[in-house]
Amino acid sequence: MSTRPKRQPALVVRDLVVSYGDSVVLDGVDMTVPRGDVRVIIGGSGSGKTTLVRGILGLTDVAAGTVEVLGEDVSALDESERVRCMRRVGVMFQHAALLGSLTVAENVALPLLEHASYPPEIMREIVRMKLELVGLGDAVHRFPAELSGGMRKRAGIARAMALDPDILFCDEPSAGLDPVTSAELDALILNLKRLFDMTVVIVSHELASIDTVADSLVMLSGGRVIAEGSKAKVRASGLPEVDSFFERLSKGRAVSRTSAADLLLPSHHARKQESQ
Amino acid sequence: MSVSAVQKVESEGFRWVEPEGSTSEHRIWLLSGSLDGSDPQALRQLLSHPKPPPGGSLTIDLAGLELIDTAGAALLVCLWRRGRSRGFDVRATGASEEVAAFLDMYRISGDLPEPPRLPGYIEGLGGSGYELMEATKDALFLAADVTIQAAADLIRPWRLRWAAIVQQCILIGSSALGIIALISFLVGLTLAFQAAFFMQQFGVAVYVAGLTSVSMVREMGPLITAIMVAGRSGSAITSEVATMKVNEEVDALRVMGIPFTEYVAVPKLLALILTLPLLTLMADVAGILGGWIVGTQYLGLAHETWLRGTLDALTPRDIVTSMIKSVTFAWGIGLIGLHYGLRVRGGAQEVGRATTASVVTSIFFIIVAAAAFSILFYVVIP
Repeated sequence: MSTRPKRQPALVVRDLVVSYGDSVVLDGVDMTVPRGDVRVIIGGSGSGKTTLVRGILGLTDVAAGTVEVLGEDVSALDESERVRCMRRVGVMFQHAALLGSLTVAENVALPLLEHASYPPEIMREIVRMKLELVGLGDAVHRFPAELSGGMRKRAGIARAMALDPDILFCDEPSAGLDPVTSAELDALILNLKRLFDMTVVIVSHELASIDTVADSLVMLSGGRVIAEGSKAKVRASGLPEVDSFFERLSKGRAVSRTSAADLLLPSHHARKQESQ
Repeated sequence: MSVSAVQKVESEGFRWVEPEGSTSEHRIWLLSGSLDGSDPQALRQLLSHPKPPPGGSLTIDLAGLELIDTAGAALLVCLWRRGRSRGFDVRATGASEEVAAFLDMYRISGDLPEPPRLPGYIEGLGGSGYELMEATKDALFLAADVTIQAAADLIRPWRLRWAAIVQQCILIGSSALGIIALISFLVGLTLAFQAAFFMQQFGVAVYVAGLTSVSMVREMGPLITAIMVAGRSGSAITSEVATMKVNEEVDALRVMGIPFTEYVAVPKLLALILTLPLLTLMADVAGILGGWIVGTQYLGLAHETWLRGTLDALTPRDIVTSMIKSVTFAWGIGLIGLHYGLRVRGGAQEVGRATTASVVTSIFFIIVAAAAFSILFYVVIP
């Protein structure tokens, strides 16, 4: 409910560095997400989007930098304090990451059982309400294997929302979904954001989805933030990476490679050169 | 009967008062502050507080409520459900626009869905019987399919995936050499000690050589090797095939027009059939060596005496029996591993369950088959 005071930013990332061996995946990333914002992290494959979210959530070891979640520097907290702080954060993983041995309702109840001490009747009702909210009221007793991809993602959102988090992270919510289901999921995220006054951080490269849900964008390229701000500001940045992302222009690898026809058919190559 | 106007709960940020005018039949609750999950005790108290009797009413005044979260909303829904089931009316009034919007977000259906009904005893028995019949049918089809395909491929060996077969042989065979040799050696040693203890008393210790070698070659060697391979390789086959099934790799092969049987099943089965007899021979030798240590070191028999005792007792028929058994065990382990792998439906947990079931069934098969072979070779065709 939108009665919580708006104080410090929901999320502040400062100079975050993540490397796997010699390969630097995030190279000094800075990002500030105000409360109530829907921030979409965009960038090409391998640009470090998912690693950034994993670094923020503490799922990947960071080599340097700090992460402040709701005003608390999580990198400076001990494990129990970190768990307490992260209770205010919900995460929807790319493939929903529902536990296959539990029903949908049991999956949603899991964080409540672990972190809340409500009477069982209220706990059952919360699970029920969350599942109704995401349109899975009829799937309460079904197992994840019995759900479609879109239903699994919605169940993943219901589980992420179980404790009424202040920040919701969604890793590629639209990936692998048909346009209708994807649009429904976008509408659901916007609805949740409006009703719960949540801050939402989304990793996505689905243009339609970005246009619908994003308040602001941050674009990563080569593990660095190259543009950050409102949709209009980022799109107007004039950076070639941003332009090629939004105009869906193939760039770099695809055009720089020599085609098999160029290699095998000298006449074809010569004709192409002439036409250029 | 009217209830006294008392402040029922005052926790940090939350107040609950039952004002004057509230009666035990028509109760009025005034809630103010924050109705959220930060105070589970307050929620519990509200739930357990006396409710109106059937035909009565509960009016919850939310006018003073500043904040509500899902736990608070769930409490109101729980109260509404109780009223519905016990026949009293529950109404909330005076909610601010924000509180109303929050409650409006949640769609509440009248009845909670019933959990799936568990089958009764007879129904369960029938279901299990049907499943067993289906599983047996699948297993027989698979056995026929893979065996015929393997036989057909052996007639046309250029069609076989030799690289895959060799790789499987290495996985099944060479990596199991050490452990099977060690276990067989120790079993041979133990067998010889047991025999020596009694035979010494009758002055026929020289027969320990024959007993150990025949026992190892005809019974223990094939049995130990097969059980070890079922545990190591049978389980590996099941988990690999089950993971392929879960990841839709089996379906991918099918749509590409590549028969699963020829591409995956036959190389594994043939590798087992080639490797298990060789491992069994090695296990036989290791077991006999264990007996030899006991014979020469504990019983004090000469090396020549031991060797002569062994060679006199062992016949080519014993070795052929050992090989027939090991080939049958290999065939069974392979088919059981493939069968359980292919029957997996669902996720990661099913893979683990299938693997366990595969190993248990393989060991059961091996022991039943070993007993059947004993009857066959000692009674039917002695």
